[in-house]
Amino acid sequence: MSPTAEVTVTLDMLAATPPYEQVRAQLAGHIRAGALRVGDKLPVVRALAADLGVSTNTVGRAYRELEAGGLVTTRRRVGTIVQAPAAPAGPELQRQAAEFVQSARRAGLADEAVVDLVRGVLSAG
Amino acid sequence: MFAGLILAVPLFLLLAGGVVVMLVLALTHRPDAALSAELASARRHGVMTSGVATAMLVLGPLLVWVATSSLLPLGPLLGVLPLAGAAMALLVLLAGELTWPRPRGTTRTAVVRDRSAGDLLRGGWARVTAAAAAALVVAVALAARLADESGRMVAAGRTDATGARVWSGSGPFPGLDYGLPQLVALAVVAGLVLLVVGAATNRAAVVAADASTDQLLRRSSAARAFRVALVGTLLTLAADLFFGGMAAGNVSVGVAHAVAVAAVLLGLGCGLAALVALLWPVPRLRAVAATSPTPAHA
Repeated sequence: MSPTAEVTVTLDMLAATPPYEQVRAQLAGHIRAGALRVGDKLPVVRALAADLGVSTNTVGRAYRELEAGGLVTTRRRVGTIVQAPAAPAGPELQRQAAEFVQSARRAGLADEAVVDLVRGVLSAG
Repeated sequence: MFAGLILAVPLFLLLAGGVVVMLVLALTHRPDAALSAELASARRHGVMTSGVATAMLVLGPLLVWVATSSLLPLGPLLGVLPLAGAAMALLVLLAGELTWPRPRGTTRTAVVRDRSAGDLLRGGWARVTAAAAAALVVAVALAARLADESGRMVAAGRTDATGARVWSGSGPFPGLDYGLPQLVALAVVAGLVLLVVGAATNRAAVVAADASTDQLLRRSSAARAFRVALVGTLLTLAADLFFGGMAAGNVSVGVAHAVAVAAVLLGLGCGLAALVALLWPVPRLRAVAATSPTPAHA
């Protein structure tokens, strides 16, 4: 089963964040936000790597880390499937996250700065 | 005279059909100006690869012939030349898929969508090619059953006026000596088609192309692979039926003779069908109004 809505991954090759981490973080975000649902099948490593113009190792590492985080599972002959996160973000938390992102953007923060802000709060807490 | 016609008629049909197809393609071609630079580049890549593959389909058998005629027995070698040409053309198509333009910008976006090779294996080209391959396998199996021990001739016995059994043989007949190399070549071609379809499934999506246009380009690549395999298979089948029918007709009488003549005619039909397949356009971006860039099928 493929995602019903169009879900995208965007790579910024000039960003300080390594490409595999960008792929992992965006896919994890889509899964936690519900854009990728349980049972959705991710593209095969070779296809997503070709679409992004990166090596298969880059996407392979992102998939492995998603699997280690319990967000996807890889089965032989089936592929990489989204599985339920151990602690799914409920609708209320998702709404608050969306509001926070909108507020941060209104304040003029770039997306990367928003992520840095959250990381800073997480590490301080 | 008859042999001359057998060569001249298909060549004339190929040329005339080619001109008609080129005219139709030119009139319904969506110009590069109506496409994004990436899409135009991808289309050029596909068309150029297809052109080289078609040239290889035609010239490949000659190359194989020159390279191996002193090493391999003449008859079986002739029998596999169409499929050898198809295999060489498929190698060109595979190289084309593996060198498909990749995204190069500093910001790259990919749609998270699972692509399945099964989508490209369900089209009409796939079905017709599978049917032709099955027909070739059946023809080879039947011919192997009918051929004599040499595997290159067919023999039939009749009782003469004195009551003695008289055997007469005729060839070339596509027994196992011809058929086995053909089946091996068919398996190689089928494997190469699957490799091309797999590569077309997993190659980079064309930047800025919508999902249906991207899928159309993939279907186009798969159809080119099936077309090449179909032409090689049909030409092999045509040769088996034609020469097998001719040989069987020389030694048979009554119903068997009628079946042999039908095989000859069927062989000519298969040859004609191969020419039609060679000229039949694959799915492509057709000319549309500039405001509605929806892909259509050929």
